[in-house]
Amino acid sequence: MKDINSFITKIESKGNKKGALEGCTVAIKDNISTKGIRTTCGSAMLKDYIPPYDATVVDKIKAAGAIVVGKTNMDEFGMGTTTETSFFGPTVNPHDESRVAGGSSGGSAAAVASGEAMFGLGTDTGGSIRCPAAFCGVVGIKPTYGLVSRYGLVAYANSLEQIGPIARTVEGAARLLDVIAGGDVRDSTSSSDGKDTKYADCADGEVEGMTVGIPAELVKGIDKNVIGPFELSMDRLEERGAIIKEITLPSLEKAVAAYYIIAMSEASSNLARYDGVRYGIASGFGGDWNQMFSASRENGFGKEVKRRILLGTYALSAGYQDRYYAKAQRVKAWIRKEFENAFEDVDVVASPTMPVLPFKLGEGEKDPLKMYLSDSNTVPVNLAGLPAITVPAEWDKREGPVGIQFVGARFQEEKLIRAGSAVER
Amino acid sequence: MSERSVVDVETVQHISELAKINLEGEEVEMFTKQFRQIINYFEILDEVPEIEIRLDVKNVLRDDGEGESLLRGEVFQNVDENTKEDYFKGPKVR
Repeated sequence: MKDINSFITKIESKGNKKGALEGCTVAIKDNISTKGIRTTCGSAMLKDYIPPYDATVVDKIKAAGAIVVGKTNMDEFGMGTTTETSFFGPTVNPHDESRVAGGSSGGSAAAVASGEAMFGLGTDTGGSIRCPAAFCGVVGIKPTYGLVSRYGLVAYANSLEQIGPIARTVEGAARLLDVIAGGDVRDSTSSSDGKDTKYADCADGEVEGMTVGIPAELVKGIDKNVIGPFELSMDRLEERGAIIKEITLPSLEKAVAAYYIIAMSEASSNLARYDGVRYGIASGFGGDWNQMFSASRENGFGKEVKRRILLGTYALSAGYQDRYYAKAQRVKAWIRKEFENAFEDVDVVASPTMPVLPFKLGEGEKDPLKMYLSDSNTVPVNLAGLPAITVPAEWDKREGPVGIQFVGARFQEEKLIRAGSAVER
Repeated sequence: MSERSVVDVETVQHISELAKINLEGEEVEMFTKQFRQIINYFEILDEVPEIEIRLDVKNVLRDDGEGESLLRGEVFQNVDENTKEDYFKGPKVR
């Protein structure tokens, strides 16, 4: 098989414990800290960084008997939709080598799709689990904000991101979620609502009487090769007794702009720590502090990371904060409110995960705005802190994988797992 | 409607100083062009209904006590350029 560049670091290890993941191989995204194993975030800045501790999710999967097989490729610091912004080169789509694997957790999704690992851990700030899972034809879950501990996750935009599972089946992803869910004293945004879950038991395809809302805003302007498989999946749900309803959520039209302003603003603050002093690459100690920082960051960061830090700095700078950041926060509250209202009438909200088929390699490099706009269906979920799942639809092998996304109310992962497992049957 | 913001080369140079990232001439030009386009798109937020932002959150605090710390050697293994003893190295303060 051709090398799809899914791993940055491969690991030879043995699981030595009994538990829910005994003998299962897991590929871990390279922004999740692993003690003694380099964790690069797909960046030149951290190409030699070795964490002195394990992330909570890593502790948990090891305690459950998992075998960690490697650290996976990703867009630099999670900033991208294709895994092409990685310092270590792009991950190739395992189904079509002319296309991208999606991003930013492209390495984890491709490793699972190609059989290099049974399970993957990814992170999702604006779709970074769901996009690559959809593009690679596997299942991905973005948990409710707070369900999974973020301790040991290298921060990009704290208020939006969550760690979540990737697997070949809904049941598999639910099984991994059972292991990693739960509150953590080391993450004050985590919630105890996640303990003692039995998500894997919910993958029973039972959707009789379940109400599924399809927002007009998320099916508008979708590629015809995507909308076909989506409609087929909805028909299948209806045959199994689900009730399909068209709904409207006008706030979602503003989600991409609000998402990028908030994510970039948080990135500009979070990535201020990379100055080349305590870790990262330093670029000479000859000048003053400002000169040293500015040179280290020029050499250590790639173009997309610079772009987002700069735009975030702009959005937060004097005179512009009310115009961009404050308004984006208002849109976030509006989206949250509209979803809350929607969940009074429907159990889950469904849409295509991505509005397009996997991009051709190199397609998006010249036009960042075009790439940002392709996140239209995934970013509302992060702004509202909700859970979502992506499940592969039956797709045309000549075209490429298509993902179906279900969104639920906070901590209602069970319903998503039921709906998702009904689609995959 | 708010006043349109105009991003020019000077704006990009100014924010690169604030963000402490040196840019090459070519990058400044590319970013100027792209930022105009992106910030122009952000103007769709001009029309957003008034909405009350109310979040049901509470502070989470742990007991103030001693805990485990990271090992010195493991922390210092990540410095790019070594000092003779365990100190972080920075430029001279003039």
